[in-house]
Amino acid sequence: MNVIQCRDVTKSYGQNKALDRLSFEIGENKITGFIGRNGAGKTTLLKMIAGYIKPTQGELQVFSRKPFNNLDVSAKTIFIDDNMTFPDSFRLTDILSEVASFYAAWNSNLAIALFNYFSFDPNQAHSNLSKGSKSTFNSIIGIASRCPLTILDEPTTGMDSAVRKDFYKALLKDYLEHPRTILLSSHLLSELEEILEDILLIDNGSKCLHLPVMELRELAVGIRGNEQALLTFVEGKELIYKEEFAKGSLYVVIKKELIEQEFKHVRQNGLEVLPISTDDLCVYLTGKTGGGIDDVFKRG
Amino acid sequence: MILNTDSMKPIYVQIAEWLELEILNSNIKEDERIYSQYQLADMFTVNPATAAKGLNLLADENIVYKRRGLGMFVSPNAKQFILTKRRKQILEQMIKELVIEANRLDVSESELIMMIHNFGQDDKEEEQL
Amino acid sequence: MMSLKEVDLLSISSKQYVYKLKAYSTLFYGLLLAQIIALFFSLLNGISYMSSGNGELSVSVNTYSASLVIIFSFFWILFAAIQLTTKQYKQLENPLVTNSISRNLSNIGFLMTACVFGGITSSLVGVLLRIIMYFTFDRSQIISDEFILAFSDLLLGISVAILYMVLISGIGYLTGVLTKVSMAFVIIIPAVIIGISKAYTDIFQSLIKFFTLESSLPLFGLKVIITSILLFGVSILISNREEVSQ
Repeated sequence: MNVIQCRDVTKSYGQNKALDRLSFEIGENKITGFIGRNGAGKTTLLKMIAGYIKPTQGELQVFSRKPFNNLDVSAKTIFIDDNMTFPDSFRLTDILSEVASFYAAWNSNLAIALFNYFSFDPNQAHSNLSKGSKSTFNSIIGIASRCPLTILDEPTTGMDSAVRKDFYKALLKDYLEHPRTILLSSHLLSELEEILEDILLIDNGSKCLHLPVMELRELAVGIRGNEQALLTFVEGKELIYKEEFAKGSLYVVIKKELIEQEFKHVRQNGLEVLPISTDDLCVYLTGKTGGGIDDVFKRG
Repeated sequence: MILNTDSMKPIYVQIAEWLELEILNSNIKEDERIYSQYQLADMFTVNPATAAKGLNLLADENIVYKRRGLGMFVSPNAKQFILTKRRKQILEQMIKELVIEANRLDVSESELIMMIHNFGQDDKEEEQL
Repeated sequence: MMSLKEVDLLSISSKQYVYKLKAYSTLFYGLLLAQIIALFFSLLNGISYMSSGNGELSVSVNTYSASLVIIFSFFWILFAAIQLTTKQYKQLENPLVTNSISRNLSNIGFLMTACVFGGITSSLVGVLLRIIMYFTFDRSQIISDEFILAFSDLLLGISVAILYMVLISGIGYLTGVLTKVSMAFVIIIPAVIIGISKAYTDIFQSLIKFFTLESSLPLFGLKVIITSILLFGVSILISNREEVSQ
């Protein structure tokens, strides 16, 4: 069963298209990472799934219903981001108990255990929390709500690396015991790729890739070596990325399937095969036309 | 459990190799039940789908077998199989690289054998201490 | 695991109503503060002051009235109704289960509670004003037929105050919703009101008289309730298609 079905969805703000003819499906109980650069449209898409905004064109269904303004979808969905605000008259523990009454599967024991583990002060006001603590607190709500669709938009903003690790671990552990559909967004894939099953890579409001993370890891390789030899080797093949890193030397990123047959000959040609991190690959895949930041400086 | 995320080896391969080591060291005996994908996901902090792929790698080689509704079990000849497989694949590959590197550094065959021999001696002495 | 039971609009709205009562408790403190300030002003100067003399004999009369307290309360409910439609207040609902209708219903529920609270307290503050005056002034100098308030009059006062506040909250809420559609309404609404009051004086006055000159409480109540239902109904319809901004 698909929890989310998105067909040709476009979201325009005036002339500007935040999302452009996006189509994908997300199956039940999968953890999917929404990856893209700043401004790629991740948040717009997640808010649309959560029912905050409606598509300009196309059809979006969540739990087989249009999510916008839908109370049933809202009851099964929680959307966590760092813009969440709570009344100043509530202390942190009040927030946990007040929000609890809205979500059928809310687990108070888990919420309180996490709250204590991250050593929050029960009497503090939410608006006084630091950026990282706010993210941590909001994430506790996200995990403890156990919503069939849990959406976490850049949940680790401001968290230090120890808390990040704990958070991802907590999320995964609770997911293993209580499977649910989880959407996580981040511009940094490396920190969360281990817990993901699928990844949806968004570039400029359009879908770039939607595949299991394991396949992404084996999608492409980097090859480095003499410019002439390398260019002959990859001739006529589509390159994901190309960079001149020293005089006469070239570095290219290419899909593995394109060079499967010739793979044995790479080393014989004096070329070097390098693994490529998924983070770098995502950057290259969503890169603007050719070149990198180095080109900016070369012109001078 | 900590995985080497920088390694070129995919995580599921690392999980499969860890399980093989557990079998080699007799931490999991033949015909015993092996960890489930969910236990592995929890232990390694990875998505259960990744853990399942690691288990499937072992199932493909008949190191483990499925029992309907009960999970995965270690095959009767698993230990022996892993031993031969590792000798053949891993050790041979390592030797190949060793020889190439030795040639590059102008280390003769007898010198190399001597080095291996001495290294083995050092190891034994350390164990005795 | 996944509950297939459909969510009930009324139960969600009432949960939100309770959440809002707790969340916006500071608004009520604001009302009490406004009423105390109004009371203070009333005591200080009275509403009007009259003095005349011919050299030998001089008369000075102070008129004290609790109407300032009521006026302050009316402004408070107008302000509160507009506030509920602002982005800042709407954001507080994002972490909850909600849709546009449940949000509006719980807001209306909250406003009605605020009206009842405001109506009762403003009338009681009026009583307080009388009591203070009774004990602080020389009693022989108080001239009023209505000084001692009959309980039935107090109830009538409370009811009328509540009904006026309901009406004002409806006007404020619709104003707030309209300004969310377009900021132009911030200018358009006052302009239209002033325009009508100047150009169509008869219509405007008969509109005011429609409420103020009604002497029967049940009829007045009916007029207010029907008008308020219209005001809130239009607000719900307008805000239903609006997206949640952050």
